[in-house]
Amino acid sequence: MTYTKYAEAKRLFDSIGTIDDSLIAEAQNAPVFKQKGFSLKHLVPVAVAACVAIFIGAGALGAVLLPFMFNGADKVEQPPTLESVLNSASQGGAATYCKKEDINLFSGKAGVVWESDNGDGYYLLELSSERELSELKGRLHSGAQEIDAETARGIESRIWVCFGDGTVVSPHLKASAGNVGYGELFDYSPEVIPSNGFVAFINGLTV
Amino acid sequence: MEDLQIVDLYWARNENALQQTKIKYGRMLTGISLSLLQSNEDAEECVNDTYLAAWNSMPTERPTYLGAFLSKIVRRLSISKHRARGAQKRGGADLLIGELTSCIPDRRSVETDVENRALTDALNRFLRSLDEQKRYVFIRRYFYSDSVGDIAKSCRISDGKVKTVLFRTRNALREFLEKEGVAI
Repeated sequence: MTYTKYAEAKRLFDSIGTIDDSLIAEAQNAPVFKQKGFSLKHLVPVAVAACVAIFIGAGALGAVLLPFMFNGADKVEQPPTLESVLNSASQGGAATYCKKEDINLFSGKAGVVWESDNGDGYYLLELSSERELSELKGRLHSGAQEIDAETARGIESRIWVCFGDGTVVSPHLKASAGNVGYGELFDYSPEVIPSNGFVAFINGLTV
Repeated sequence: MEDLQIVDLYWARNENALQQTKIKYGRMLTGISLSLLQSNEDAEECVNDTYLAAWNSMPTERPTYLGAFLSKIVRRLSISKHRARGAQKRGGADLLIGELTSCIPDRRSVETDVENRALTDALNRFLRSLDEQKRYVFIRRYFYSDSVGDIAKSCRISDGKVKTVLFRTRNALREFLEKEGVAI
């Protein structure tokens, strides 16, 4: 850290001592941290994921006929979001709940890891083969959409793809050497939203 | 005893004000000072200096939030003591420079005061823009100097969650200050 940056941090630290008394007084008592628990809203993404699974199972015939059954060909099903797919995997048991210390990034097995809602643990979805990892890598950054800072702030949960050899990347980050971690589930500020192709692939792993 | 009643005792120059202050806020003030100084002796000294400063300032001050008012004093005193102690420990040039600061004329200009007020104002706005939980974690860490573990215990969340909240809030503060063009 440069001398200037340290001096500026000192000034900021001092200035925090001058904030409004009401803010300081408010912080004398801990607020209730609401734990995100199961609620009715979780049924919606589960229902959406189930519908998508049915449509995929019905094959091309379902994909052609259903739009006409519901007011014509221009009615298009919305693809599931990454959040809904991960919720479904967490609730449905496709992913394993574990603590950070139980996740071995050097196990030789690739997988997808994401934070639990309460921030106390993680969910791990292991890939079953090299082929799956190869397909996932192909979809990881392709078609990802860049997002602005405000949207990034709204993305609370963190998700990583672990290659099994210590390499860790995130579908929320652009493809770049600086965005590759090694040996840890690093925190980050989201830069992109992964493509529908990536989400559909993850969804396929959980079905 | 309510804060307003204690403040009334100060205004009436009733020494019971100090006793009531110790009962209500002694532990909190000691906690803040100890977190910053890591020394029981020095913390006790700062807390006692805080009581003296409170006695000397009321009247004319009539704080609405007595706890916050006292916390600011003890925090400021503790930080000054920490820096003075640090210079003394380092010795040599740092100690001599510290002694010479009293020779430097007070160059506090109107501009510096305006900048300081702007920074405080920006911090207030930033903190109010946060949700209650993030605000609590940030203030407990950087004003009250609580440890991550203590914050996690009081909120009943994990240490990791506290660290994540702090990391993200610091980044958000940086972006906020850059966007506001606030000079530090």
